[in-house]
Amino acid sequence: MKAFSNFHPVVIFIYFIAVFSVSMFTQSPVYLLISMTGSFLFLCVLNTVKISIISFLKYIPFSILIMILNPLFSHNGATPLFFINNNAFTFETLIYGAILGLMILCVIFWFKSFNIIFNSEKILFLFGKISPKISLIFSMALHFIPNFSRYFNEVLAIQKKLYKKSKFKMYISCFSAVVTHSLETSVDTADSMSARGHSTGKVTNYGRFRFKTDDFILLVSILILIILTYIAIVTGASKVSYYPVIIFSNLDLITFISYLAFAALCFLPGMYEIKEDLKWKYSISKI
Amino acid sequence: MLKRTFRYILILGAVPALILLGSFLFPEKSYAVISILLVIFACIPFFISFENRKTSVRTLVIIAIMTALSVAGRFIFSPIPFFKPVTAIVIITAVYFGGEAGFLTGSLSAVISNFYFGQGPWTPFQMFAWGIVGFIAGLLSNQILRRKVIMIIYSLASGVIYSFIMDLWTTLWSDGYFNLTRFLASCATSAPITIIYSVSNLIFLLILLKPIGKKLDRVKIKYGL
Repeated sequence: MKAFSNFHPVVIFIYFIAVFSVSMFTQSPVYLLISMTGSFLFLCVLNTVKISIISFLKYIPFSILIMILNPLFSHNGATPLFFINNNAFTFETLIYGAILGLMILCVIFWFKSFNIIFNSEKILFLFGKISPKISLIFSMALHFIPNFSRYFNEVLAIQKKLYKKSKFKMYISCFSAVVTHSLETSVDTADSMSARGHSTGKVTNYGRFRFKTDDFILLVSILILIILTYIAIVTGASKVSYYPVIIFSNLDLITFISYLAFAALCFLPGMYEIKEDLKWKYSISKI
Repeated sequence: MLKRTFRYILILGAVPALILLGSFLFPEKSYAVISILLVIFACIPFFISFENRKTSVRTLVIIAIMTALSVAGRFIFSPIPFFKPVTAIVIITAVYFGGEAGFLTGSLSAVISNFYFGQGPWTPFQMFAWGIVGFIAGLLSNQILRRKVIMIIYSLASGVIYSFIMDLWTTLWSDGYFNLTRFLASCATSAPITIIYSVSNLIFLLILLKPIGKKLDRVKIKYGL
Protein backbone atom coordinates (compact mmCIF):
# COMPACT_ATOMS: atom_id res chain seq x y z
CA MET A 1 0.00 0.00 0.00
CA LYS A 2 1.45 3.33 -1.02
CA ALA A 3 -1.42 5.74 -0.57
CA PHE A 4 0.93 8.68 -0.16
CA SER A 5 2.34 8.26 -3.64
CA ASN A 6 -1.10 8.92 -5.12
CA PHE A 7 -0.80 12.59 -4.30
CA HIS A 8 0.27 15.04 -6.96
CA PRO A 9 4.05 14.87 -7.66
CA VAL A 10 4.52 18.58 -7.01
CA VAL A 11 3.02 18.25 -3.54
CA ILE A 12 5.09 15.18 -2.73
CA PHE A 13 8.23 16.91 -3.99
CA ILE A 14 7.57 19.94 -1.79
CA TYR A 15 6.97 17.65 1.16
CA PHE A 16 10.29 15.92 0.75
CA ILE A 17 12.16 19.19 0.22
CA ALA A 18 10.65 20.51 3.45
CA VAL A 19 11.62 17.46 5.46
CA PHE A 20 15.09 17.16 3.90
CA SER A 21 15.92 20.79 4.43
CA VAL A 22 15.29 20.57 8.16
CA SER A 23 16.87 17.13 8.63
CA MET A 24 19.98 17.95 6.64
CA PHE A 25 20.78 21.38 7.89
CA THR A 26 19.84 21.69 11.55
CA GLN A 27 22.08 20.64 14.37
CA SER A 28 19.43 20.35 17.03
CA PRO A 29 19.07 16.77 18.32
CA VAL A 30 15.34 17.28 18.93
CA TYR A 31 14.55 17.86 15.25
CA LEU A 32 16.80 15.00 14.26
CA LEU A 33 15.18 12.55 16.69
CA ILE A 34 11.71 13.58 15.52
CA SER A 35 12.81 13.24 11.91
CA MET A 36 14.41 9.86 12.60
CA THR A 37 11.29 8.38 14.21
CA GLY A 38 9.08 9.85 11.49
CA SER A 39 11.17 8.42 8.68
CA PHE A 40 11.39 5.07 10.47
CA LEU A 41 7.61 4.90 10.85
CA PHE A 42 7.12 5.79 7.19
CA LEU A 43 9.61 3.17 6.08
CA CYS A 44 7.96 0.57 8.33
CA VAL A 45 4.65 1.26 6.64
CA LEU A 46 6.15 1.18 3.15
CA ASN A 47 8.22 -1.94 3.74
CA THR A 48 7.67 -4.38 6.55
CA VAL A 49 8.72 -3.67 10.13
CA LYS A 50 11.32 -6.42 10.01
CA ILE A 51 13.11 -5.10 6.91
CA SER A 52 13.16 -1.59 8.36
CA ILE A 53 14.65 -2.75 11.65
CA ILE A 54 17.31 -4.77 9.84
CA SER A 55 18.32 -1.83 7.66
CA PHE A 56 18.33 0.39 10.74
CA LEU A 57 20.71 -1.96 12.54
CA LYS A 58 22.90 -2.13 9.43
CA TYR A 59 23.56 1.62 9.54
CA ILE A 60 24.21 1.83 13.32
CA PRO A 61 27.92 0.88 13.11
CA PHE A 62 28.35 3.48 10.36
CA SER A 63 26.93 6.23 12.58
CA ILE A 64 29.07 5.12 15.51
CA LEU A 65 32.12 5.29 13.26
CA ILE A 66 31.26 8.86 12.28
CA MET A 67 30.79 9.73 15.95
CA ILE A 68 34.22 8.37 16.90
CA LEU A 69 35.98 9.86 13.90
CA ASN A 70 34.71 13.40 14.42
CA PRO A 71 36.92 14.26 17.47
CA LEU A 72 39.95 13.25 15.43
CA PHE A 73 39.24 15.91 12.81
CA SER A 74 38.16 18.85 14.92
CA HIS A 75 39.60 19.89 18.23
CA ASN A 76 37.12 22.51 19.36
CA GLY A 77 35.38 22.18 22.69
CA ALA A 78 36.27 22.92 26.29
CA THR A 79 36.24 19.51 27.97
CA PRO A 80 39.12 17.33 26.83
CA LEU A 81 38.70 13.64 27.57
CA PHE A 82 42.23 12.63 26.60
CA PHE A 83 45.04 13.67 24.28
CA ILE A 84 46.37 12.05 21.13
CA ASN A 85 49.63 13.55 19.82
CA ASN A 86 48.94 16.74 21.78
CA ASN A 87 45.53 17.06 20.13
CA ALA A 88 42.56 17.12 22.47
CA PHE A 89 39.84 14.50 22.09
CA THR A 90 36.99 16.56 23.49
CA PHE A 91 33.59 15.66 24.86
CA GLU A 92 31.84 18.29 22.71
CA THR A 93 33.24 16.99 19.45
CA LEU A 94 32.18 13.48 20.43
CA ILE A 95 28.61 14.68 21.02
CA TYR A 96 28.70 16.65 17.77
CA GLY A 97 29.90 13.49 16.05
CA ALA A 98 26.91 11.63 17.46
CA ILE A 99 24.63 14.36 16.08
CA LEU A 100 26.34 14.04 12.69
CA GLY A 101 25.81 10.29 12.72
CA LEU A 102 22.15 10.78 13.58
CA MET A 103 21.76 13.35 10.82
CA ILE A 104 23.26 11.07 8.19
CA LEU A 105 21.04 8.23 9.40
CA CYS A 106 17.99 10.50 9.10
CA VAL A 107 18.83 11.58 5.58
CA ILE A 108 19.54 8.02 4.45
CA PHE A 109 16.22 6.87 5.87
CA TRP A 110 14.21 9.67 4.28
CA PHE A 111 15.90 8.97 0.98
CA LYS A 112 14.92 5.31 1.30
CA SER A 113 11.25 6.25 1.35
CA PHE A 114 11.86 8.95 -1.25
CA ASN A 115 13.24 6.26 -3.56
CA ILE A 116 10.11 4.17 -3.10
CA ILE A 117 7.61 7.01 -3.47
CA PHE A 118 9.30 9.24 -6.02
CA ASN A 119 9.87 7.06 -9.06
CA SER A 120 11.12 8.14 -12.47
CA GLU A 121 7.58 8.66 -13.74
CA LYS A 122 7.09 11.46 -11.23
CA ILE A 123 10.45 13.04 -12.10
CA LEU A 124 9.46 13.05 -15.77
CA PHE A 125 6.13 14.58 -14.93
CA LEU A 126 7.82 17.34 -12.92
CA PHE A 127 10.47 18.27 -15.45
CA GLY A 128 8.78 17.27 -18.72
CA LYS A 129 7.21 20.65 -19.25
CA ILE A 130 10.21 22.68 -18.16
CA SER A 131 12.70 20.95 -20.43
CA PRO A 132 11.17 18.65 -23.03
CA LYS A 133 14.42 17.64 -24.77
CA ILE A 134 16.27 16.56 -21.66
CA SER A 135 13.23 14.72 -20.33
CA LEU A 136 12.99 12.89 -23.62
CA ILE A 137 16.62 11.76 -23.32
CA PHE A 138 15.96 10.81 -19.71
CA SER A 139 12.98 8.63 -20.52
CA MET A 140 14.68 7.04 -23.54
CA ALA A 141 17.73 6.20 -21.44
CA LEU A 142 15.45 4.61 -18.83
CA HIS A 143 13.96 2.49 -21.58
CA PHE A 144 17.34 1.44 -23.02
CA ILE A 145 18.94 0.31 -19.74
CA PRO A 146 16.98 -2.93 -19.17
CA ASN A 147 17.36 -3.71 -22.90
CA PHE A 148 21.13 -3.39 -22.60
CA SER A 149 21.36 -5.53 -19.51
CA ARG A 150 19.28 -8.23 -21.15
CA TYR A 151 21.23 -8.12 -24.40
CA PHE A 152 24.54 -8.06 -22.50
CA ASN A 153 23.58 -11.18 -20.55
CA GLU A 154 22.57 -12.98 -23.74
CA VAL A 155 25.89 -12.19 -25.42
CA LEU A 156 27.79 -13.10 -22.28
CA ALA A 157 26.07 -16.48 -22.02
CA ILE A 158 27.05 -17.31 -25.60
CA GLN A 159 30.63 -16.07 -25.23
CA LYS A 160 31.07 -18.13 -22.07
CA LYS A 161 30.18 -21.29 -23.96
CA LEU A 162 32.28 -20.47 -27.01
CA TYR A 163 35.52 -18.98 -25.72
CA LYS A 164 37.84 -19.34 -22.78
CA LYS A 165 38.80 -15.73 -22.12
CA SER A 166 39.60 -13.98 -18.87
CA LYS A 167 36.53 -12.55 -17.19
CA PHE A 168 37.56 -8.94 -17.77
CA LYS A 169 38.31 -9.45 -21.48
CA MET A 170 35.01 -11.22 -21.95
CA TYR A 171 33.09 -8.41 -20.24
CA ILE A 172 34.81 -5.83 -22.41
CA SER A 173 34.10 -7.65 -25.67
CA CYS A 174 30.47 -8.20 -24.70
CA PHE A 175 30.17 -4.54 -23.77
CA SER A 176 31.57 -3.58 -27.14
CA ALA A 177 29.05 -5.84 -28.90
CA VAL A 178 26.23 -4.19 -26.98
CA VAL A 179 27.49 -0.75 -28.01
CA THR A 180 27.59 -1.65 -31.69
CA HIS A 181 24.15 -3.19 -31.61
CA SER A 182 22.54 -0.31 -29.76
CA LEU A 183 24.13 2.40 -31.91
CA GLU A 184 22.87 0.70 -35.04
CA THR A 185 19.33 0.32 -33.70
CA SER A 186 19.35 3.87 -32.36
CA VAL A 187 19.16 5.27 -35.86
CA ASP A 188 16.07 3.19 -36.52
CA THR A 189 14.49 4.60 -33.38
CA ALA A 190 15.38 8.14 -34.40
CA ASP A 191 14.06 7.70 -37.94
CA SER A 192 10.79 6.26 -36.76
CA MET A 193 10.49 9.17 -34.34
CA SER A 194 10.97 11.69 -37.14
CA ALA A 195 8.56 9.75 -39.34
CA ARG A 196 5.93 10.15 -36.65
CA GLY A 197 6.45 13.87 -36.58
CA HIS A 198 8.91 14.49 -33.79
CA SER A 199 10.37 18.01 -33.79
CA THR A 200 7.51 19.29 -35.92
CA GLY A 201 5.57 20.57 -32.97
CA LYS A 202 5.66 20.89 -29.25
CA VAL A 203 6.46 17.78 -27.23
CA THR A 204 3.64 16.88 -24.91
CA ASN A 205 3.73 14.52 -21.98
CA TYR A 206 1.14 12.15 -20.77
CA GLY A 207 0.63 12.70 -17.08
CA ARG A 208 -1.91 10.74 -15.13
CA PHE A 209 -1.75 13.15 -12.23
CA ARG A 210 -4.50 15.67 -11.60
CA PHE A 211 -4.38 18.32 -8.95
CA LYS A 212 -7.30 17.42 -6.65
CA THR A 213 -8.78 18.99 -3.53
CA ASP A 214 -6.87 16.54 -1.35
CA ASP A 215 -3.61 17.72 -2.90
CA PHE A 216 -4.51 21.30 -2.15
CA ILE A 217 -5.31 20.48 1.49
CA LEU A 218 -2.04 18.58 1.86
CA LEU A 219 -0.05 21.37 0.22
CA VAL A 220 -1.49 24.03 2.50
CA SER A 221 -0.91 21.96 5.62
CA ILE A 222 2.69 21.22 4.58
CA LEU A 223 3.34 24.92 4.04
CA ILE A 224 1.80 25.92 7.38
CA LEU A 225 3.73 23.26 9.27
CA ILE A 226 7.05 24.06 7.63
CA ILE A 227 6.67 27.79 8.23
CA LEU A 228 5.89 27.11 11.91
CA THR A 229 8.98 24.92 12.06
CA TYR A 230 11.19 27.48 10.39
CA ILE A 231 10.21 30.36 12.67
CA ALA A 232 12.18 28.87 15.54
CA ILE A 233 15.12 27.94 13.31
CA VAL A 234 15.41 31.33 11.63
CA THR A 235 15.08 33.32 14.84
CA GLY A 236 17.60 31.03 16.49
CA ALA A 237 15.19 30.09 19.27
CA SER A 238 15.86 26.37 18.85
CA LYS A 239 19.58 26.83 18.33
CA VAL A 240 21.97 24.41 19.97
CA SER A 241 25.61 25.42 20.01
CA TYR A 242 28.25 22.79 20.59
CA TYR A 243 31.45 24.80 20.81
CA PRO A 244 33.09 25.65 23.12
CA VAL A 245 30.50 24.14 25.46
CA ILE A 246 27.14 22.61 24.68
CA ILE A 247 24.35 25.12 25.23
CA PHE A 248 20.70 24.31 24.72
CA SER A 249 18.53 27.36 24.36
CA ASN A 250 15.55 27.52 26.73
CA LEU A 251 12.36 25.82 25.69
CA ASP A 252 10.05 28.72 24.96
CA LEU A 253 6.68 28.74 23.24
CA ILE A 254 8.02 29.33 19.71
CA THR A 255 10.43 26.42 19.99
CA PHE A 256 7.77 24.15 21.42
CA ILE A 257 5.35 24.98 18.59
CA SER A 258 8.17 24.46 16.11
CA TYR A 259 8.90 20.99 17.50
CA LEU A 260 5.22 20.07 17.42
CA ALA A 261 4.83 21.32 13.86
CA PHE A 262 7.88 19.41 12.68
CA ALA A 263 6.67 16.27 14.44
CA ALA A 264 3.31 16.61 12.68
CA LEU A 265 5.13 17.08 9.38
CA CYS A 266 7.34 14.02 9.85
CA PHE A 267 4.59 11.71 11.04
CA LEU A 268 2.11 12.87 8.40
CA PRO A 269 2.83 10.34 5.62
CA GLY A 270 3.19 7.40 8.00
CA MET A 271 -0.07 8.21 9.76
CA TYR A 272 -1.78 8.77 6.43
CA GLU A 273 -0.70 5.34 5.20
CA ILE A 274 -1.92 3.71 8.42
CA LYS A 275 -5.25 5.53 8.16
CA GLU A 276 -5.76 4.40 4.56
CA ASP A 277 -4.75 0.88 5.54
CA LEU A 278 -7.35 0.77 8.31
CA LYS A 279 -10.00 2.19 6.00
CA TRP A 280 -9.26 -0.59 3.53
CA LYS A 281 -9.40 -3.31 6.18
CA TYR A 282 -12.61 -1.90 7.63
CA SER A 283 -14.29 -1.79 4.23
CA ILE A 284 -13.23 -5.38 3.55
CA SER A 285 -14.74 -6.56 6.82
CA LYS A 286 -18.00 -4.82 5.90
CA ILE A 287 -18.19 -6.76 2.64
CA MET B 1 15.79 39.46 -26.59
CA LEU B 2 13.78 40.41 -23.54
CA LYS B 3 13.62 36.76 -22.59
CA ARG B 4 17.37 36.42 -22.87
CA THR B 5 18.05 39.54 -20.75
CA PHE B 6 15.64 38.22 -18.17
CA ARG B 7 17.50 34.93 -18.14
CA TYR B 8 20.87 36.61 -17.60
CA ILE B 9 19.44 38.68 -14.77
CA LEU B 10 18.03 35.50 -13.28
CA ILE B 11 21.37 33.73 -13.46
CA LEU B 12 23.34 36.70 -12.16
CA GLY B 13 20.88 37.49 -9.41
CA ALA B 14 20.25 33.96 -8.29
CA VAL B 15 23.70 33.28 -6.86
CA PRO B 16 23.70 36.09 -4.29
CA ALA B 17 20.04 35.38 -3.59
CA LEU B 18 20.79 31.73 -2.88
CA ILE B 19 23.70 32.65 -0.61
CA LEU B 20 21.51 35.07 1.33
CA LEU B 21 18.68 32.54 1.59
CA GLY B 22 21.00 29.80 2.80
CA SER B 23 22.60 31.92 5.47
CA PHE B 24 19.25 33.33 6.55
CA LEU B 25 17.42 30.01 6.92
CA PHE B 26 20.21 27.93 8.38
CA PRO B 27 22.78 30.08 10.11
CA GLU B 28 24.47 27.01 11.59
CA LYS B 29 24.97 25.14 8.35
CA SER B 30 24.85 27.89 5.78
CA TYR B 31 27.82 26.63 3.75
CA ALA B 32 26.27 23.21 3.22
CA VAL B 33 22.93 24.71 2.15
CA ILE B 34 24.57 27.24 -0.12
CA SER B 35 26.84 24.67 -1.69
CA ILE B 36 24.00 22.30 -2.51
CA LEU B 37 21.87 25.12 -3.94
CA LEU B 38 24.78 26.46 -5.96
CA VAL B 39 25.68 23.11 -7.39
CA ILE B 40 22.09 22.57 -8.54
CA PHE B 41 22.07 26.05 -9.98
CA ALA B 42 25.40 25.53 -11.73
CA CYS B 43 23.89 22.72 -13.78
CA ILE B 44 21.05 24.88 -15.12
CA PRO B 45 22.97 26.98 -17.72
CA PHE B 46 24.27 23.80 -19.37
CA PHE B 47 20.77 22.37 -19.56
CA ILE B 48 19.32 25.62 -20.90
CA SER B 49 21.89 25.95 -23.65
CA PHE B 50 21.33 22.34 -24.68
CA GLU B 51 17.60 22.88 -24.64
CA ASN B 52 17.86 25.96 -26.89
CA ARG B 53 20.33 24.52 -29.37
CA LYS B 54 18.93 22.80 -32.45
CA THR B 55 19.82 19.11 -32.27
CA SER B 56 18.75 16.39 -34.65
CA VAL B 57 16.60 13.55 -33.38
CA ARG B 58 19.40 11.10 -34.18
CA THR B 59 21.81 12.95 -31.92
CA LEU B 60 19.23 12.98 -29.16
CA VAL B 61 18.78 9.23 -29.41
CA ILE B 62 22.54 8.64 -29.44
CA ILE B 63 22.99 10.76 -26.32
CA ALA B 64 20.24 8.72 -24.67
CA ILE B 65 22.05 5.54 -25.72
CA MET B 66 25.35 6.75 -24.31
CA THR B 67 23.66 7.71 -21.04
CA ALA B 68 22.02 4.32 -20.83
CA LEU B 69 25.36 2.66 -21.62
CA SER B 70 27.14 4.44 -18.80
CA VAL B 71 24.38 3.53 -16.35
CA ALA B 72 24.34 -0.06 -17.57
CA GLY B 73 28.13 -0.06 -17.29
CA ARG B 74 27.81 0.91 -13.65
CA PHE B 75 25.62 -2.19 -13.20
CA ILE B 76 27.61 -4.59 -15.29
CA PHE B 77 30.83 -3.81 -13.47
CA SER B 78 29.19 -3.71 -10.05
CA PRO B 79 31.06 -6.90 -8.97
CA ILE B 80 34.29 -4.85 -9.06
CA PRO B 81 33.96 -1.98 -6.55
CA PHE B 82 34.69 1.59 -7.76
CA PHE B 83 35.85 0.23 -11.11
CA LYS B 84 33.32 1.83 -13.42
CA PRO B 85 33.23 2.84 -17.08
CA VAL B 86 30.88 5.79 -16.43
CA THR B 87 33.48 8.56 -16.66
CA ALA B 88 35.11 6.98 -19.70
CA ILE B 89 31.81 6.84 -21.58
CA VAL B 90 30.98 10.41 -20.56
CA ILE B 91 34.36 11.55 -21.89
CA ILE B 92 33.89 9.65 -25.15
CA THR B 93 30.45 11.19 -25.67
CA ALA B 94 31.85 14.65 -24.97
CA VAL B 95 34.74 14.17 -27.36
CA TYR B 96 32.46 13.15 -30.23
CA PHE B 97 29.32 15.20 -29.55
CA GLY B 98 30.58 18.30 -27.75
CA GLY B 99 30.80 19.53 -24.19
CA GLU B 100 27.10 20.09 -23.60
CA ALA B 101 26.26 16.56 -24.69
CA GLY B 102 29.00 15.38 -22.35
CA PHE B 103 27.62 17.39 -19.46
CA LEU B 104 24.16 16.02 -20.10
CA THR B 105 25.34 12.41 -20.33
CA GLY B 106 27.30 12.76 -17.10
CA SER B 107 24.61 14.42 -15.06
CA LEU B 108 21.78 12.23 -16.34
CA SER B 109 23.86 9.10 -15.67
CA ALA B 110 24.23 10.24 -12.07
CA VAL B 111 20.50 10.79 -11.56
CA ILE B 112 19.37 7.65 -13.36
CA SER B 113 21.90 5.27 -11.83
CA ASN B 114 21.05 6.63 -8.39
CA PHE B 115 17.49 5.39 -8.88
CA TYR B 116 19.05 1.96 -8.47
CA PHE B 117 22.03 2.73 -6.23
CA GLY B 118 20.14 5.16 -3.99
CA GLN B 119 19.49 8.88 -4.27
CA GLY B 120 20.91 11.10 -1.60
CA PRO B 121 22.13 14.60 -0.92
CA TRP B 122 25.20 13.59 -2.92
CA THR B 123 23.14 13.28 -6.15
CA PRO B 124 23.45 16.98 -7.20
CA PHE B 125 27.18 16.86 -6.54
CA GLN B 126 27.60 13.70 -8.56
CA MET B 127 25.56 15.29 -11.34
CA PHE B 128 27.79 18.30 -11.36
CA ALA B 129 31.03 16.34 -10.98
CA TRP B 130 30.36 13.93 -13.85
CA GLY B 131 28.85 16.73 -15.90
CA ILE B 132 31.82 19.04 -15.57
CA VAL B 133 34.23 16.18 -16.33
CA GLY B 134 32.29 15.69 -19.57
CA PHE B 135 32.15 19.39 -20.36
CA ILE B 136 35.92 19.86 -19.98
CA ALA B 137 36.49 16.79 -22.15
CA GLY B 138 34.35 18.44 -24.81
CA LEU B 139 36.55 21.54 -24.71
CA LEU B 140 39.68 19.41 -25.02
CA SER B 141 38.20 17.08 -27.62
CA ASN B 142 40.77 17.74 -30.37
CA GLN B 143 43.74 17.27 -28.07
CA ILE B 144 42.27 14.12 -26.49
CA LEU B 145 41.72 12.55 -29.88
CA ARG B 146 45.05 13.52 -31.40
CA ARG B 147 47.51 13.25 -28.57
CA LYS B 148 47.59 10.20 -26.43
CA VAL B 149 49.50 11.95 -23.61
CA ILE B 150 46.69 14.47 -23.12
CA MET B 151 44.14 11.66 -23.13
CA ILE B 152 46.06 9.78 -20.43
CA ILE B 153 46.55 12.89 -18.32
CA TYR B 154 42.92 13.93 -18.60
CA SER B 155 41.55 10.49 -17.78
CA LEU B 156 43.68 10.39 -14.63
CA ALA B 157 42.74 13.97 -13.77
CA SER B 158 39.03 13.30 -14.19
CA GLY B 159 39.09 10.80 -11.33
CA VAL B 160 40.77 13.40 -9.16
CA ILE B 161 38.26 16.12 -10.14
CA TYR B 162 35.37 13.82 -9.30
CA SER B 163 36.79 12.84 -5.90
CA PHE B 164 37.71 16.43 -5.11
CA ILE B 165 34.15 17.66 -5.64
CA MET B 166 32.71 14.80 -3.58
CA ASP B 167 35.19 15.38 -0.72
CA LEU B 168 34.33 19.06 -0.73
CA TRP B 169 30.70 18.15 -0.17
CA THR B 170 31.51 15.70 2.64
CA THR B 171 33.49 18.37 4.46
CA LEU B 172 30.93 21.13 4.06
CA TRP B 173 28.04 18.93 5.06
CA SER B 174 29.57 17.45 8.17
CA ASP B 175 31.17 20.56 9.65
CA GLY B 176 29.01 23.35 8.32
CA TYR B 177 32.13 25.27 7.35
CA PHE B 178 35.30 24.50 5.42
CA ASN B 179 37.34 22.50 7.91
CA LEU B 180 40.72 22.12 6.26
CA THR B 181 41.90 19.23 8.44
CA ARG B 182 38.76 17.24 7.70
CA PHE B 183 39.01 18.03 4.01
CA LEU B 184 42.61 16.83 3.91
CA ALA B 185 41.69 13.79 5.98
CA SER B 186 38.78 12.88 3.74
CA CYS B 187 41.01 13.37 0.69
CA ALA B 188 43.55 11.06 2.31
CA THR B 189 41.01 8.38 3.23
CA SER B 190 39.50 8.51 -0.23
CA ALA B 191 42.92 8.47 -1.92
CA PRO B 192 42.87 4.73 -2.66
CA ILE B 193 39.39 5.11 -4.17
CA THR B 194 40.54 8.12 -6.16
CA ILE B 195 43.41 6.06 -7.50
CA ILE B 196 41.02 3.27 -8.49
CA TYR B 197 38.77 5.84 -10.19
CA SER B 198 41.65 7.36 -12.11
CA VAL B 199 43.15 4.04 -13.10
CA SER B 200 39.78 2.63 -14.13
CA ASN B 201 39.07 5.76 -16.19
CA LEU B 202 42.41 5.32 -17.90
CA ILE B 203 41.92 1.61 -18.55
CA PHE B 204 38.40 2.03 -19.84
CA LEU B 205 39.36 4.97 -22.01
CA LEU B 206 42.34 3.12 -23.46
CA ILE B 207 40.17 0.11 -24.20
CA LEU B 208 36.96 1.85 -25.26
CA LEU B 209 37.99 5.12 -26.93
CA LYS B 210 39.17 3.57 -30.20
CA PRO B 211 36.45 0.94 -30.76
CA ILE B 212 33.53 3.08 -29.55
CA GLY B 213 35.01 6.10 -31.32
CA LYS B 214 35.20 4.09 -34.52
CA LYS B 215 31.57 3.06 -34.13
CA LEU B 216 30.48 6.62 -33.41
CA ASP B 217 32.46 7.90 -36.38
CA ARG B 218 30.88 5.27 -38.56
CA VAL B 219 27.37 6.17 -37.43
CA LYS B 220 28.21 9.85 -37.88
CA ILE B 221 29.41 9.37 -41.45
CA LYS B 222 26.84 6.78 -42.44
CA TYR B 223 23.82 8.70 -41.21
CA GLY B 224 25.20 12.22 -41.50
CA LEU B 225 25.05 13.58 -37.96
